[in-house]
Amino acid sequence: MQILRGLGCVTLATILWIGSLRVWFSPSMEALAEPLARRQLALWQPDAERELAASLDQLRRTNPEWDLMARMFAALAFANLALRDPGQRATYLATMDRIIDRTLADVARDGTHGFLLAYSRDRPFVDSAGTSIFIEGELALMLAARQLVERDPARVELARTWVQRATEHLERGPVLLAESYPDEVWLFCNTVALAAIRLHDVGEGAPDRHARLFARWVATAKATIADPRTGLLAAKTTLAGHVLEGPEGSTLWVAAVMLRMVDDDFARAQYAAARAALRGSFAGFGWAREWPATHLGRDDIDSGPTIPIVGANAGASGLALIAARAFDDDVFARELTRSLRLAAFPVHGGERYAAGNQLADAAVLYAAVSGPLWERAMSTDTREVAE
Amino acid sequence: MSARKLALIAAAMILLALALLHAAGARELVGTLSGTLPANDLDACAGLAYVAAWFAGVLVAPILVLSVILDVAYGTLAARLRAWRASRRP
Repeated sequence: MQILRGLGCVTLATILWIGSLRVWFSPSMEALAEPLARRQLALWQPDAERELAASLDQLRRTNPEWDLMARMFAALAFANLALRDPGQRATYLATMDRIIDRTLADVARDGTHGFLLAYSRDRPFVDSAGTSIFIEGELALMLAARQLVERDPARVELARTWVQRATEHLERGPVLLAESYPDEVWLFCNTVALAAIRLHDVGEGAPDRHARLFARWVATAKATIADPRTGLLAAKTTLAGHVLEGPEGSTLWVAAVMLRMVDDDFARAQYAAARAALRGSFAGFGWAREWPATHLGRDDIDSGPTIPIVGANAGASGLALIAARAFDDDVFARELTRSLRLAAFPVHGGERYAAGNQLADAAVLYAAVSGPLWERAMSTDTREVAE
Repeated sequence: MSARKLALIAAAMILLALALLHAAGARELVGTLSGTLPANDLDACAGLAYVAAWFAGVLVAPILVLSVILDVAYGTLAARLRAWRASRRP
C-alpha cells in the first residue's frame, strides 16, 4: 500500500510538473530578440575586434562555413531590424556594411576555399569557373538585402556583380544547380543564391527579371531532386543532379524560407512537408529532427549531434525556428522557443546561448526579428522599392 | 531513513551540484551540444556535467519535492478523514 501510494504521488507530481513546465520557459519574441541584438550589434563594432575575432575563430575551428553563415544571418537580422526601427537604421546599415566589407576582404585574401572545409581542395570544381555558390550566394544575399533596405549608390555595382556571378553559376549547371564544393551541390547554398537574385531584382525595380529562371528552377528541382514519396528536396546532389544525401533538417528549413522569394506556393509545400516529417513536440516543447524517419542518416559536421530516441537536433531545431517564423507557424515557433530557453542555456541575460555559438545566436536573432525584409520583397512586386 | 527524507536529500544534492557547477562557470561550457569544439577535454566534461545537473535540477528535483508535498498532503488528509470518521461513530 505504501509503495502504491508513493508511486501515485510520483506519477501525479510528474504530470503536474511536466505539464506546467512550459510556463517557466515562455519568453516573447521581443524578449528573445532584444539581448541577442544588443550583443550581435556590439560584436560587430570596431572596438570589439578582439572579441569578434575570438568568436569567429571558435566557429572556424569547428567549421569555416559557420563563419560565413554567422555573418549572413547577422546581416539578415540587421536588415530586418533596420526596417523595423527606422530610428536606428543608420547603425544597422553601417554594421551590415562592416560585415560585408570584412567578408569581401576575406574572400579576396583567402579565395574560394577560405570559408570551405579542407576537402574542398581535394579535387577541382567541375564547373570551369572554380567557384563556390556558397560564397557567391551568401555574399550576394547580404549585398542584396543591404540594397533593398536602403540603396547605397557606392554598392550598386558590387551587388550587381555578385548577384550576376551567382546567376550565371546557376545557369551554367546542367540542372540549374551550382557547386558548393567540387561536384557537391548543396540545396541550402543554391536557394540562398536564388533568394539573393530575387531580392536584388526587387531592389532594382525589376522583380520579374529572373521569373523564367525561377520557374525553370522549380520545375527542374521537382523533377530531379525531390523525393518522390514526400516531395521534400534533397540536401546534397552532384552537379548533374544525382542525389547524394536526402532531405535534411539543417538544409530544408532555410531552403523553404529562401524559396519564398522564388515560388511561395512551392516554398509553403516544402515547409508543410518538412514540418510533417521533422517536427517533434512534447508538453509544449518542440524540436526538429535532422532526418525524416524514411531517410535516416548519420551525424556529421553540418548536423551536429542528435539526441537519441526523440531525434532532436540542435542545429536543425534552430533553423526550424527561422522557418516557423517565416511561415507564421506560431505553435511550432512557441514550442521551439521554449526548448531554446530550456535546453540552449541562455547566458548573460539571453545575450548568448551557451549550447550554441555565434552562428546559433545570429540565426536565432534572425528568426526572432525576421519578417520585414521578406515582406518588403514580396509586397513590392513591381514598383515601391525602386522609387 | 524514510522515503520522504531520501527524496528530499536527493533533490537537495542535485540542486547543490547544479549550484556548484553554475558558480564554477560550467554553464558557459555546454557548446558541445551544438557540435562546437570545446577548448579542452576538461571544459567538455564540465559542460556535460552541467547539462546533466541542469536537467536533473529542472526535471527530477522538483518532481521529488512535489512528490513529498503530495505524500504529506495525502497523509494529513487521510489522518483528518480518519479522525473525522472516528468522531462520528456512536
